[in-house]
Amino acid sequence: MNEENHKFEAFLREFEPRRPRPLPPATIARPSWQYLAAAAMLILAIGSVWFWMRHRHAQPNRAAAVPSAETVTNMPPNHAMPPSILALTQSALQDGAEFDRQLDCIAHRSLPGFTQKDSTLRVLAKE
Amino acid sequence: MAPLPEHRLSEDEIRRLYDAHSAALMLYARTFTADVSAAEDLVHGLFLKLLRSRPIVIGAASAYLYRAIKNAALNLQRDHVKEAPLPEDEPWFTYRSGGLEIAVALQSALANLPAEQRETVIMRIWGGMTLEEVAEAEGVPLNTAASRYRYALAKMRDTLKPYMG
Repeated sequence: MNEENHKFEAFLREFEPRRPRPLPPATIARPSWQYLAAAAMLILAIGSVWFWMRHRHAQPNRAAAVPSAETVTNMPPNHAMPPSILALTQSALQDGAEFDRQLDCIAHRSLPGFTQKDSTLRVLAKE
Repeated sequence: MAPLPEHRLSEDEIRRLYDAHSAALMLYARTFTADVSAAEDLVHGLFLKLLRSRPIVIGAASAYLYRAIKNAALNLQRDHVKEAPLPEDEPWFTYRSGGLEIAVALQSALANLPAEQRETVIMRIWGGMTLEEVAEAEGVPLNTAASRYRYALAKMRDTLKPYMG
């Protein structure tokens, strides 16, 4: 009986069931905590960049908005901020003297000083 | 009774298990579903899940695989209980010595066995498992698995006698 069974088992093993498709060659198994850590790092990096950008843009605005005490005392009260192009055009058309005064004021603020000893303009003027 | 050993499956071990058992597992899955693609997906899905999670297995890994496929196949059956099964056009086996007729006869003999006997034969003959491993996979005593196997072989031998040389 046993021999018959062995023969029959050998006969059955000649039949091959169909194989499924092969598995993908490589898989990188990462535990879920690694994904969480990666996500946390990404959020932290994005937050840091956002904070830095915001801080960087905020600083020059604050500096421009709050002029130094010296600047304020040297300027006429109504010319603390440079006049707009439209205001300058109106002045030029209506009041030449006021326009000259405004240009002087702007020049003092935007051009390099020429009254100091080492001023380039002063040296050039001498030559 | 000593507790069954437990260990975490490595990727190499999972791939070796796939090479050794995927065909028999697919045959096993096909006894639950008539759809050959669904059976293939069950086997593939199980191994991809194993590769991702590398579970700790208690006892024989092969026994774990057959239990997992059975659970997945039963879940699939439950989810698609109202769907009419597709007619199966691909036989379960290929026969080394040729002859589709005998392969179909074997499929019929296997399909006509009671489920627990069929499972035993598939695990033992095409899964290459020992009767101890089969008993573990089925959750029955060794003697039960052995007698199921014996009965199954006797029935199949009777059915296939005309085809045997």
